[in-house]
Amino acid sequence: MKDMQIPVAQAAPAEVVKPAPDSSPDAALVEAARRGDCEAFSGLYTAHAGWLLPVLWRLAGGDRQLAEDWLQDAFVQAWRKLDQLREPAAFSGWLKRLAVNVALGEKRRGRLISVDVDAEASAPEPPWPAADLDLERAIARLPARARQVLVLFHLSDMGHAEIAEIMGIEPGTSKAQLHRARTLLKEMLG
Amino acid sequence: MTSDDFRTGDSAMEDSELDGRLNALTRVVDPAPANWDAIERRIRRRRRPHAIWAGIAAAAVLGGVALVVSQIGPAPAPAGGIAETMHAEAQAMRASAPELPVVSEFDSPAALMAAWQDNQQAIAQLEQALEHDPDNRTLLEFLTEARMRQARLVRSIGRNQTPTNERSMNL
Repeated sequence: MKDMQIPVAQAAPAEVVKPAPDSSPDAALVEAARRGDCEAFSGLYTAHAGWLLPVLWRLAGGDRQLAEDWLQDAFVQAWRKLDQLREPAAFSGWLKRLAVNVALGEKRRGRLISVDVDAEASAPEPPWPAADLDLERAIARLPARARQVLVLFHLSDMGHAEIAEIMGIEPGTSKAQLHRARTLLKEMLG
Repeated sequence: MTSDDFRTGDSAMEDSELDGRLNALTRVVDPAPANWDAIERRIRRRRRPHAIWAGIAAAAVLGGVALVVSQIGPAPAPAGGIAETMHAEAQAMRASAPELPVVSEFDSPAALMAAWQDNQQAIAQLEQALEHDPDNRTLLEFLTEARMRQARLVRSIGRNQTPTNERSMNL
């Protein structure tokens, strides 16, 4: 999927758990939720909200309320559109795209205008114990487009082709924005 | 493309260090129960279209059987055998009918599905009675009328679901 090799992490976090698109528990829960089983859908929330929220928080530039709104919108949309999911076992990837669309759609509508301007002053702090607060804040201060590409590429495991499609840009633009984001981060953190 | 492609030469930080720090960021947190509560309120208020139509179908069938049962008047003196069995079944259904809610009173998928199960049982009783006496015109009429009633209910509910109303039921 990715066309860039990321070096092995020097300090890999113990809690990195990537979504498992082929996990059969998802399929069973999706099937039950399709029949209107709210408890089953609650199981899907428990399994996936934990990795989705950090992605949305970073896409929101450190705005916790906005990230939680997006999280809720994404799950409500998922509930409504479950019948459109062809492969129940692929729920996590489908949910991720849905949530990113919610976030990017919101930003396209202009709701998140103030993030880039105010981020530095507000110095956002993640609603979880930050493994690297300086880096979190530096990401939040990135220009919106560069931040989106960086978050989707490095922290949401999406490739440039997928990012380009979901953002409505060319893959080359995605690569350029990633380069810009990384350069800015290195300058801010160096 | 590799991470070397990102090297700028003047950067104060090496790409490998940046990659390491990015990879070390928290990826998974505990999902907040408050968010689920908010989601649950919204999805319970706005049922999935599939569940809505399942509920409509269940309610319509239930309404049909309720109508049939309500039309069973005071029973004639039983003649014994199958007629007596049918009479007992009709009495049992009539006894349960007054408690059955009308379509508009179903306000949750759970209530609809419970009604659906109850109704399926009633339908099964009717069909069982017909197996014993396939030529019984009264039972056949009951079923016919129930199905017509079902169709009328579905149509009337469909008329009420204008695009505007449908949007308001969803998000």
